[in-house]
Formats: sequence, structure tokens, C-alpha cells
Amino acid sequence: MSAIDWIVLALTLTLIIAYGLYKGRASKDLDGYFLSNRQVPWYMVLLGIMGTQASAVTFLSAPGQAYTDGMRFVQYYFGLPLAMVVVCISFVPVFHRLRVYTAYEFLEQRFDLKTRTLTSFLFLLQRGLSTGISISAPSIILSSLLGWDLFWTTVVMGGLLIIYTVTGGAKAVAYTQQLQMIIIFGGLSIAGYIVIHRLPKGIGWSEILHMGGRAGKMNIITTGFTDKGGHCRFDWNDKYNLLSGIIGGFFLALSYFGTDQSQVGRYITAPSVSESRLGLLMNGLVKIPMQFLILMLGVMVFAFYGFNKEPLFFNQSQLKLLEHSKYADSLATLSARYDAVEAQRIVAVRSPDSAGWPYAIVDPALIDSRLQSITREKAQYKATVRRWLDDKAVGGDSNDTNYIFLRFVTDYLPKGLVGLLIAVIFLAAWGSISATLNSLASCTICDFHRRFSTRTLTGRQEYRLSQLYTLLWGIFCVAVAQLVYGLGNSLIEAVNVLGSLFYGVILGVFLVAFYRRRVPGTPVFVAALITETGVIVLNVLEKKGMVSLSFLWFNLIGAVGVVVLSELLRPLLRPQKQ
Amino acid sequence: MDQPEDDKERVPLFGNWNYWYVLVIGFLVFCIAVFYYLTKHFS
Repeated sequence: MSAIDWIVLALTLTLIIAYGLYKGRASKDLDGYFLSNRQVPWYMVLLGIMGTQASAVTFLSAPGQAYTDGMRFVQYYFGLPLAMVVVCISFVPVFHRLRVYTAYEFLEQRFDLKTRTLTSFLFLLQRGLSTGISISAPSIILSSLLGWDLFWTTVVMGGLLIIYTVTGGAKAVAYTQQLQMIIIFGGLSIAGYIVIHRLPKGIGWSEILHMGGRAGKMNIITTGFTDKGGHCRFDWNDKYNLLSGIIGGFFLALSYFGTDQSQVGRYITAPSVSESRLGLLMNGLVKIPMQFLILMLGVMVFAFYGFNKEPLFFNQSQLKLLEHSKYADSLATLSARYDAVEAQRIVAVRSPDSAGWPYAIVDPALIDSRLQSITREKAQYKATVRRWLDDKAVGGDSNDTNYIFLRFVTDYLPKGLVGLLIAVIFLAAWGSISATLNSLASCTICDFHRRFSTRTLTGRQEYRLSQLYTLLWGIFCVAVAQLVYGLGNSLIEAVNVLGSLFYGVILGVFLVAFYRRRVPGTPVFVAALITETGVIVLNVLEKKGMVSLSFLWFNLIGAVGVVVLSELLRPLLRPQKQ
Repeated sequence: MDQPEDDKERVPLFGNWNYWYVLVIGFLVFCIAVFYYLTKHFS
């Protein structure tokens, strides 16, 4: 990075910290620290829940996902608007009426202490670990791509936000998320403009979409059904399709927005049910178009590399790994051939005398046989590099999806903007992590410390203790991030899988609380324990290849399992009469 | 769905929250229809 990029990056991050410290002054008690005295307007609730959901990985991974796998990832969010409606109808009024600090507080009033404690514990377990992974994943990508020291990248990624999160609590989180989202959307819009601007003359939106379509990137809607030997079958292992997006995505979103304290903690800061509802419903309206545009950025970058030299492998650090392996000599030869083939390809596609250029790129039928053979040869070289990286003796990572967008940024964006886009990654991480730290601290103090401690604390003491818990959770998450970095790209998948292991069960408990009013605490508690064990066993079987099931379905299984089992256990586990 | 307490609150733009819910679900259906068209048109 150039000096200008460093200055832009440092200034942006400093601005956020200063803004958080300035705006985060609230009354020094639990209401001020965790609920911003319930004074957050709906549009800040909206930006808060969007900023909490969109982590750094969202902005790093999604364009790369569209580049490699197409835009079908957008279907993952189809269940979200439906979930927003259910949360608004059933969850929001109850949380407001009971004036809870945490979602799990409601479960003690509805069931009993042990059910509240179990769900809060499951939340702390999965959120604490997954936040550590959320810090680690973008840190690895940035340190690999820019050659930064991993330890310090992780410390900045997960550590600096602690300054304003500890000091200002929920209010600082809400205000910084507002500014962060503005900078993030501004940065991504500029990046999109530059991709279009750098395309050859005559290539516009129509050509980009046609190029993407020809390469299978415009697979926005997929059914998940495949034709096997004349039989049409649904692929349960397919992660992103219409059915899994609507059903699996609905249960995931319902659990996330209805029962995850990092989200509940955002919308209960609104002064009324109406303001909370408006923030959530607006999220239901804007989330899918927003995700569509982020994915479209990946298709635009794909079109850009159609006319410019595409790297042999986007993650440069993995090529360096090969340079120090038994494939070093082969890699040198292959790289030279690849460069030659890419040079030929670019001359061919940019040549105005190509038949019907630029439509030769849009329609493969018009591409001459020479260009077709060049493209095939290029694909073979890329496949060979992946095969070498998969060699156990090398121990590399053959998936470079998450490096595609940032590699484009560092290679092609002008000075200053690179720094801004790197800042966007940090801010996306900070927005998500700060909200999570705030919610982890609120659960720790409200669901455990205050509930089980025999000592009565003053409002001021509780405020100080809340700050201490926020700090401790911050240190814990950074420590987890430092410990898990050896897992590589599988970290990103791990965040989603870890969430799905617990979300379904927690949601099941809440669904029984809201919709099965005759079921008491003990059957729900036992059903939650049995179902959680079942989901974990199912995940182990899936990892061993004994079951073929995408992780999104764990949410549905967990939720339905708790509801059905608690009904079955109800006659067996009746509460004893006093 | 009975929420007498929150029904007393002013509903922005529309007179009833149900219209908001229909709007959100209708927009989802619209998005899916547009995406389906784009998928078919460009594939």
C-alpha cells in the first residue's frame, strides 16, 4: 500500500473510534449501557441490524462467490423478509412489553430459570467462538494479500473497536454502525464505478450481464432439483437454491433476528414497538437488493478480467508456498506459459478486427476456435495449480474465492481508494463485532452475574461491571482469533455451520414459548438438550460423509425437533404439584 | 394475532401493520420474479 492509502486507512479508523467515544456518552447504568436509554430511532435500528449482520467476510466473500459460483448465493436471504414479519408480529411486542435486557430473560418468565440459563449459555458459547472466527477470517485474508503481520492485523481487526465499545456501550455501537454503513456503501459504490470505468469502450451493462450469463454467473434462481438417470431429485446437499433459501433461510433468519441477542439488542433500543418494527421491516425490504448488488460487483469484476490479465491464482501467498515446495520448478514453467496464453487471449478479445467484437465475448458462437483453445489451456493451468495446492505435502489452500475482490482492489484501484476499501473491510468487521461484544456482555451480566450473585449492586457498579465484561469478551474473542488461524479458508464456512448447530434449537425454545402455551419449562429444557445432541451428531455424520445434508437444514431440524419433542415429553414430564 | 397494546401506536404510512407485512412479502415475490427473469434471459 502507498503512503496515501495508509493515511486514508488510519484516518478512517481514527474517525470511527473518535466518533464512537464522542457519541457514546450515555447514563452510567444498565439502561444507558445496553439499551441506549431506549432512544434509538428506526433508521439507526435499521443500520444497526444491517451492520451487525454484515461482517467483513460478507464484503470479502460475496463478490468472490459470484465470480466463481454465480449469483445464486442471493437465495440464502429469501427467507429473511418472511422472518422479519414473524419477528415483528410475535417477538417485538413481547420484548418491549416485558422491557427485557436480553431475549433469554423472557424465557424465565415464560418457562423457568434453567431454560433461560441453557439458551443464554448456548448463545454465549456459539457467539463467543464464532466472533473469534469472524475476527480471524478477514485478518488472514488481509495479512496474506498485503503481507501484514497476522498477529497485529488480528489485534487491530478485533481490538481497537473495544475502545469505544467498552466506553460507550450500545449507544456508541449504534452511532458508529451508522457512520460505518455510510462509508462501506460509499466505498463499494466507488469500486463498482471504477470497474465499469475501466472496461473497454463499448462494454456496458448489457455486455457484462451477457458475459456473466454465458459463464453461468447469472444463476440467480436455482431450483435445487437435478436430473439423475431420468429421475428429477432434490439435492439436499445443495447450499443455495430457492427452497433451501426460503425454508432454511427463513428459520435461520427467524432464529438470528428473533433470538440472537446481538440482533435483539439492536432493536430493543428503539423507544417503541413501532420504531423497532419499522427498522426490521425496512431491513426486510433492502437486504435482498443490497446483497444482489454486492454479488453483482463480483460479476462486474468477472467481466473486467475478461478483458484484463487474470492472476493465475488470486491468493499470492499460496503461490509463494508452491515456490518453496517440490513444485517450484514446474510452477515457474507453468507461470511463464500462463502469462503467454493470457497475453494472447487479451490481444484476441481486445482486437477490433475480431468478428463482431465486443459481441464475440458475449456470444461464444462468434469466438474463433483459436480463442476457445486459449481459454481451455488457461483453465487447465489454473486447475493444475489447485491440484498442487491440494497435495498434502504442500498443505495449501486451493480456494481463492475470498481473495478475488481484494486482489482486484489492490491491483487496479487508484491510490487512496485502496486504503478506503481496506478500511471498509475493517469497519464491516467492527460493526458486527462491537454489537456482538455488547450483547455477550449484556447476557453475561443479566442472565448470569445479576441472576446468580447474592450481592446487590448499585446502578453505577453494574455499569462498571458491564464495561469489564465487554473488555473481557473482547480479549477472549481476539485470543480465539489468534488460536484458530491455522484452519485457513474453512473458517468462513465454520462460522455459518457453528451458527446453524445452535440457532435451530434456540429458535425451537422460543417457538414453543410463543405458540405452544400449554408446554411448561422442563419438557422444553429436555427437548432442547436432546435435539442439540442430535444436531451435533448429524453434523459429525455429515462431516464423515455418512449423511448428505447442507448445514442450512440444521436450523429447520433443530427448531422442529424442539417443538415436536417438547409436545411429546409434555405428558411424561408434568410439573409436580406443590 | 392479538396485540392490543402495540395496536394503539401510530403505524407509519399505512393505517395498519398488516399492509406493511403484505408490502414486505409482496416485494420478496417481486424480487424473485425479477431474478427469475434475469436468470432465464441471460443464461
